[in-house]
Amino acid sequence: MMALKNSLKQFVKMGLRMGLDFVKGHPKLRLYVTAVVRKLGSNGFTRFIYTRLTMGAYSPVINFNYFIPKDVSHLPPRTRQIYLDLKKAIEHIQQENR
Amino acid sequence: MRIVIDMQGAQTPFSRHRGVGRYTMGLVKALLRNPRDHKIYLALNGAFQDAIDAIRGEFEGLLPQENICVWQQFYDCSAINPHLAPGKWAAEVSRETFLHNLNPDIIFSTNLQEGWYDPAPTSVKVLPSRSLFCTTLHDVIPLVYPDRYLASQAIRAWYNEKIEGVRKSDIILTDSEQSKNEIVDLVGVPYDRITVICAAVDSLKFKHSDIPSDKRDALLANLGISSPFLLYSGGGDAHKNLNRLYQAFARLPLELRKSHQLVIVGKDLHREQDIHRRILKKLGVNASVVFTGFLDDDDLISLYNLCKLFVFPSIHEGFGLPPLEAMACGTPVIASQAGSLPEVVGLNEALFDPYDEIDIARKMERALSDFKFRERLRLNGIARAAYFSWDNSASKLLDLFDMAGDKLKNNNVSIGNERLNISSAGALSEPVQAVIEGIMTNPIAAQLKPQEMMAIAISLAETYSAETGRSRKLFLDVSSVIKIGDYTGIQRVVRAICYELVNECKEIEVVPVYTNIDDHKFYRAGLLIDHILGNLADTTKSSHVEFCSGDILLYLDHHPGVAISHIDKTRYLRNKGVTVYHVVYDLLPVQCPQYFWPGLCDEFVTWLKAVSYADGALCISHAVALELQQWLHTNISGRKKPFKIGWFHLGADFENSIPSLGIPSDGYDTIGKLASGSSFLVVGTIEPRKGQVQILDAFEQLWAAGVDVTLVLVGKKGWGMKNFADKLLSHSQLGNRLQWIEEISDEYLEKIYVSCSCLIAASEAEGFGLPLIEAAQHKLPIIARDIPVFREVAGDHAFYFNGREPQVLAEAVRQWLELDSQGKVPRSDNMPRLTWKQSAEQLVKVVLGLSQRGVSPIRHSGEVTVSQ
Repeated sequence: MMALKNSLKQFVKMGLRMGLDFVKGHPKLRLYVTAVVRKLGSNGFTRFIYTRLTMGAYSPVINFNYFIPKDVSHLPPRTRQIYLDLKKAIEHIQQENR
Repeated sequence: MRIVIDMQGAQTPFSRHRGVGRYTMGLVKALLRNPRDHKIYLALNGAFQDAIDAIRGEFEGLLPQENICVWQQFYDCSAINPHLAPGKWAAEVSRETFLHNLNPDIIFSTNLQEGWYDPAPTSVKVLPSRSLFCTTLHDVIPLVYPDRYLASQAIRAWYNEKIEGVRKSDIILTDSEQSKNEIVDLVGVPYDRITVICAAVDSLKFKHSDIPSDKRDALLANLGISSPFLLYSGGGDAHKNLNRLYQAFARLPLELRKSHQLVIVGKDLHREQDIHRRILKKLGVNASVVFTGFLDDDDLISLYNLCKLFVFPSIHEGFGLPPLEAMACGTPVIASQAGSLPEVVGLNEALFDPYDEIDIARKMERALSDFKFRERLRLNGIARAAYFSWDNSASKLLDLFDMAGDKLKNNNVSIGNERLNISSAGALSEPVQAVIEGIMTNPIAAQLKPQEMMAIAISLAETYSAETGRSRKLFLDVSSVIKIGDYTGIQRVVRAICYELVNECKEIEVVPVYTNIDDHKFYRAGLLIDHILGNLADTTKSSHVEFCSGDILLYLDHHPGVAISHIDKTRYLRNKGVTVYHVVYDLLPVQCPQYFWPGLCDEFVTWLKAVSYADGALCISHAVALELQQWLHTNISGRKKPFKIGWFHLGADFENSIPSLGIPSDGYDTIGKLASGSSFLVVGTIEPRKGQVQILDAFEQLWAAGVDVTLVLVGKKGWGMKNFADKLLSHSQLGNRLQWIEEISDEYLEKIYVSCSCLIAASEAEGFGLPLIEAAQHKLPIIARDIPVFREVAGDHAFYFNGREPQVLAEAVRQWLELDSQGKVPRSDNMPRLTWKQSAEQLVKVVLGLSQRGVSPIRHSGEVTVSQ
């Protein structure tokens, strides 16, 4: 029962995060949702949502996506080498943790 | 000693425009003004691109640009997102490795409490370190009000981590005695481990001044201020106590309240003003309150100077910079008696109980209505502000560092070693390996996702060079030559300059590169390099190019699409420490739009705007440099660093421009005909601005008058000249006294130059006028339109004409023929001209000169500067 509850909680959290990321990715929608949240007042949940939405104002100036390709094959050779070394090392830790 | 300063406090959107940002910039500038014998390096986080440009601009002249080092971080690691914790760990390891790689004796972090909202890793000794860590803890307000600021578990964990970092620091700084006492009580750090380094204000900026009436009226009207006003500036956090300020304002006697406005300055406050306005409406003072949002320093200083009273009601402060700024401007200031504010304000009479709105209102009323009291506040403020100085604070900090250096020496640690090169050998350089190993020391690394690993890999590859001891390089963008392969005049220049620089340049290694519109990577132009070096087969790969701090990228080719699509790349490279220049061949589409189709003019303007994102430009003549300077002055504003403009002249020797070869079978007949009489040569694409229409009309008049002259047009048909081309093709003199050679090799053109009697350069606008130089090289006399660039290039070595009518030019040709018969035509033999070798040398000299020092005009090839 506890495990189910935790899974459900994780699922809701993930959904909420994805929803917020989506809203933050659409400036007009974000403005609209922010205004609605403000009108709802300042209880714990709305304050949480409001903070997450307005946090966009402090979000990084750099557009990370501009530099990160969708696929490893698009990485230049040296970067790919670094990636593969890092991945190998992390897989090693993952194996150790099992 | 080597001091590395982590500048994230002046970078993050959260802190940059707050007291922390001001503290960072003010203190670091003062350190750099008098660094004693210390070497100071600034370390910047590449995630905050906008701030890097601003910081580089602010420190121009104070610190060599190579001492501003950037580590790249292409991933978010803000602590507010708990799922980013593995990335946060990786970012902390990456940052510390980078800082250690600069071989510091002291690592100074101006604010450890970064990274909640922003991807700003701040950690202390997560890796073993021989350096001393110096940390500023501005306040411990969250520990004083834990219910308010540390309510959630996530923020509590993050904050405790920061406090732990402070405990691990070797040197702890804070802003005031009040904060020091609180740190002792709440953090448990011994009293003698903490040093108070007071914040201050820039006294050259924050000072009393009379604001000109036109500026005052415009500013106040723009902000909606119409009455005498009280001012508050700062954040909107709960401890700023704005609610009581509003209540106190509402309690002012009606007469005073109606005759004054309350002006609230602050970025966050503007964004959240709906919430504030709800409160103000309830109090009935909504209409009297103005929220300005963020103001730049100029406007803020104007408001300090214009306001009647500055009120600062905060119930807790680590220092309280805004009241000090206001005092420095001679503004009467009243403030809360809480926190560090009594230390800053230094006058009991000016303080009020921040928890009592009646007391605040009483003090406000007294200050607004009692002139003598206001004057006392003003005089106290000026004297008190003078007591705080960045130079004094910096000096005190350096004393502290010197003492720490002695401690390091006593511990037998070698001080001030030369810098470790960021570059290292091997497939994975040493620091990259160190980061990977460091990341692995925490089991949380196992949670890194492939996308995060990719971002970490890119960040590391962009931070550390693959080559050991790599020398700086000059990259020449030749995208148009590689991708399009046209044989335009510009591309002839590109080939010639590349040929000379790849073969001959001694000052710096030169690498031609290319890119694509939809690809932000650059590739080595292997084919071109092989061609230049005379390799029969491809010996070099067109591999991906790596830019390092100190390199120069010169967009030598004119490829508007590339420049426009690479604005972000240009910004990124500049932030990384790469200097980026464009070559500007002319500004014709903006100066003579009538000669070009509208789409081209629009694109050209967009291209010029893209050029303005670079460090500067090199023009092919002084005339173009001045035109560019004027255009930028009129059209571009808001640059943090001056835009540098240099100029050089083009070369003219065919043999060194990788000339195209071939003479058509009937070419020798044509050459023979031209050599046998008076023949006038016109070189250039058939375009409206080139003046070929006027020339043909003039020659028709000459032919009609029985003058035996031949006209040779060399150049393909350009835009908007279909009718003229049709006229040429059906002309009765074509093949006889009129020759039109559309496609021509460089070899054939050279023979034509040799065979003709005179060059006519009738362009109404040009960037340089290469045919004039080429004519001079072949001792061919010149008839040129009298425009500035032709005067610059040909001086007294040409025969000039003015006017657009055919008869004007016909008369000029007649006069020239007359002078020629007397042997009196201006000779072009001695016209100053360069070989491509000399031209390329000039270019390199100007590029390196612009990159290394301030600009000063020089006579021949040189620079003009534009400051915005």
